Amino acid sequence: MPSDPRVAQALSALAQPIAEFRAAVQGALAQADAFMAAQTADAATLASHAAAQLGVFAKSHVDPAKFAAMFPTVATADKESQKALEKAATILRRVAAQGEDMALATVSDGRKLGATIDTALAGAGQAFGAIIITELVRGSRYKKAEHEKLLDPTEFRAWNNAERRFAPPLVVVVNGADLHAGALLDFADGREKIVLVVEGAAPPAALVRCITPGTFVLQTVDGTGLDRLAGYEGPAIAALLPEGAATFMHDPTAGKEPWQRLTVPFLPSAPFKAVGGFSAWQMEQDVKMLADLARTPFAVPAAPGAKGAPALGAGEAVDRIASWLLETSGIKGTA
Amino acid sequence: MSASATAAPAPPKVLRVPEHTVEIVSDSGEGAQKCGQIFAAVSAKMGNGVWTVELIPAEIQPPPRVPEGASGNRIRVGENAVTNWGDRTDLVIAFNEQVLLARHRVDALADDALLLIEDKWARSEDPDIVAQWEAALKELSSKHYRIIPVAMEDECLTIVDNPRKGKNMFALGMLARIYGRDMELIKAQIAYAFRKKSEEVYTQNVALLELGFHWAEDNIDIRVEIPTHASDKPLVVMNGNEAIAMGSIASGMELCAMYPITPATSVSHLLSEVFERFGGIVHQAEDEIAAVGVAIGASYAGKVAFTITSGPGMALKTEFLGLAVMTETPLVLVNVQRGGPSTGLPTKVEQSDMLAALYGQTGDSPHIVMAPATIEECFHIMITARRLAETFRTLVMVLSDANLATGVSPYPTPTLDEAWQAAPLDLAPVKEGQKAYGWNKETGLSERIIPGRPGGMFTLTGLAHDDRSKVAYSSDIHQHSSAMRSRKMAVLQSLLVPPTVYGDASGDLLVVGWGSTKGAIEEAVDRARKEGLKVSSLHLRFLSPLEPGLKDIFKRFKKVMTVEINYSDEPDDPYITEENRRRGQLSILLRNATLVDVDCWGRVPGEPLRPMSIVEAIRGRVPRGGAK
Repeated sequence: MPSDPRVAQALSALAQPIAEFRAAVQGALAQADAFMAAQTADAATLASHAAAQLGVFAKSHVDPAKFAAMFPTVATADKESQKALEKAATILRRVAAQGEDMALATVSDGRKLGATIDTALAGAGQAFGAIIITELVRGSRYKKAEHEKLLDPTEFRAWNNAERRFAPPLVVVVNGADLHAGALLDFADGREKIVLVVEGAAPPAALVRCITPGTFVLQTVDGTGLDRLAGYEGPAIAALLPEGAATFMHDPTAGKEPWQRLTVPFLPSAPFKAVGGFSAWQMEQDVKMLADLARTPFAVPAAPGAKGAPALGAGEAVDRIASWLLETSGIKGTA
Repeated sequence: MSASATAAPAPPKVLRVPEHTVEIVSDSGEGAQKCGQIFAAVSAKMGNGVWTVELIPAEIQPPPRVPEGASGNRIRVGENAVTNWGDRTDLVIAFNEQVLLARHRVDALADDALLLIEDKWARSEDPDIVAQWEAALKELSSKHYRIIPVAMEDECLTIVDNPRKGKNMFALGMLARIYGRDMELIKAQIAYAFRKKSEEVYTQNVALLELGFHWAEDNIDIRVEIPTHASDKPLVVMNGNEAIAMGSIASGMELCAMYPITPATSVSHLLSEVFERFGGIVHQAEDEIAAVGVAIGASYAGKVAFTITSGPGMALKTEFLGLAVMTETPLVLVNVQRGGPSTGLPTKVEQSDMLAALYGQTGDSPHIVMAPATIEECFHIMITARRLAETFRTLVMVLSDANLATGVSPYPTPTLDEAWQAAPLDLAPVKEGQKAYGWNKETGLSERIIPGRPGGMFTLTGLAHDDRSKVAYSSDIHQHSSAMRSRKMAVLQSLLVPPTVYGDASGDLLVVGWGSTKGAIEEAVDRARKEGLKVSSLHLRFLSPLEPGLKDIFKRFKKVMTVEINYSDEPDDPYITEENRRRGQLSILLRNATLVDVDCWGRVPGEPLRPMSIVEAIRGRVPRGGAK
């Protein structure tokens, strides 16, 4: 695992969805292993298993051999099904063994952000296929011609709605020069959560391009807001950026209008320096877009003596409209 | 009788005995139970066998200084394992003479018992109290008790302002000296008992403990030595309700839905402290009916759920229990029995819910009924109950009782097994053509469908239904579905093994029991056999279906008699004839199942049966020379 403490911070914020995905994998693996073991178990082994399940109280009261014979725990699977299940179990075991690393990827030199995420999630997609195969075999419904392909790595674009709802989260370490936010939008569906740990100089407001009404988007330099990202019921994209970047949170649950959903604690001002393939002009456009989205739709005169800060974020807009109302009604004081 | 002792006594007389029984009795709220619990726990940790019984008044807060308010603990301590509370008490510490009278009047005390009694009442300014004291001592003088008055409160006042709150630790100190208990173990146990209190509370209690210890050292001329044997296996010490709570966790239960009722409630007390750590929750519902409804709903949805209650609560749950049977929804119900009928004896033991458990539901409602016989079995039965409920898709009732619930005894630390836990929820698509009740025509068994499984949608109903769970009132469908639900009981019985006979496989008399009476019955059988009587016993764990082979076993004995904590008419009682005699519940069950003329002996004293009473009953059925 990279030594950057922000990686641990991101993984910690995503601990719950990571645990949920791993529990699903481990549950399916346990079922697959039990099924395979039962295929080859002799009567004594099955009786011993039944005795264990029935517990100590049953020891001198229930005949475990008869019990095991009466309640075979699994159906008999044909060779093809057994082979598919073994392959599925291998995949599940590999994913389970990865631990938290399953949820971690690094954009290496020469690779693109989108391709890196695609590859990382394809492994998880394969686990989804393995889970389905396990269920099919256990339910005696596996058909090789129809289902074999489920065990191939499957990119996110091929995932169904249920899989996207149960998508494993991902922490991606990326150089600021490679922060191509547009690529992230391909994964903004279901409940996918992606947290970027950005190293080095980076465009200051790149993630503004990811804002859609239903996508939680966060730029932070200290991790503020990551806790809310993990609990969001839809897709979420976040970036832990170096100091100097814009910080904002777009929370779809905060309101209907963009300015209600968006809070911008810090907005850097031009001039910007080009980073990688991003020109200064492009960066300025991102920052302006962020300011525009956060602006309140009504004209609120600045309070007397105020130094003309832009109206950014729902909370500030409410404060300012209240101040304006108090002022125009002749009531002194601040809201 | 001596006055409150002050002079240095002669060197103490040492009694080396294989067992001794102790009672601490007081008014409610004076801490006698805590004193007894700590003494019992320490004795068990030192390597003695222990069995305790809580003496609980029927009222929550009875008036002080009345015999009916006697509250406390009886601890039978033995060199070897102790399986029941025994016959009579050898040593009593009483906080007033009225609660002592209560124990005397029920013949609970040995004729030569040593009685240590708070004597401040003899010096009361209230002449009525002095008169009561004198009358009590006169009544007690009918036996050969040795009475030692102890100025417990006066002694405690040297340390605390309110001796009512500390006298129990003084009493514990006296017991520690008399029985040679390990003071460090006692202090550790006090620290545990008061773990939620301040350091000051602990310090004060230890000071009172030591005061009592030194007082006994200076003033009590008897020491009792009961050999200890360190166990080669690690032991746990707990009561039956704690064992049920822990067993439910070990079995992978996820929900305990309950409504408070004595003597079952303490199961949920423990669970509410620890259950969440294991992924479970305790749901205290608004009433008994809602509690069982929640448990059935959770179980239907795939969670492993149980409900816990006592007799009156089980009566209220009746309709829902039928629903669990009709919908074939797995459910475990624990009934910690108390005296009845109606609200009856809330804090006292009885086994009188047996027939209600077996037959109390409306309609034909076949289900499994099991009963633990020991505190250890209270733990392990939960694993079996859960597994059978799910395997047979039915209601499993576990009948414990107040004796097991509050009794404390050590038993080997269970070796936990992952196989006890629930397998991950199977949400695989159901097989093509699978029905909600795809009854196997031979066995009545069918595969359970958890809601959410693709292709497994069906309407759950308590109305008569066919195998697809469609409401169906036609006679052939109801006949068939009734047969299928019933058949499961026969299938389970086919998987059970015949019970083991305790003692010889044949003889003059077979005593049959169930539940918490096992220890007392087997001790009685041992004593009777030493007298030359050809007696054996058999203890049932499964009541529905009954364990197989009973008829064959019964045939090997000249007489069969049930022993239970249930009422039964005696054959020679006025108006009682062979035809109208109301027999003990187990006897009714066994006569029905085996067509054997099973006799019965039952008592409902509101306390556990004593081995000596059972021996007397045995002698009455099998006189020397054998049964005819």
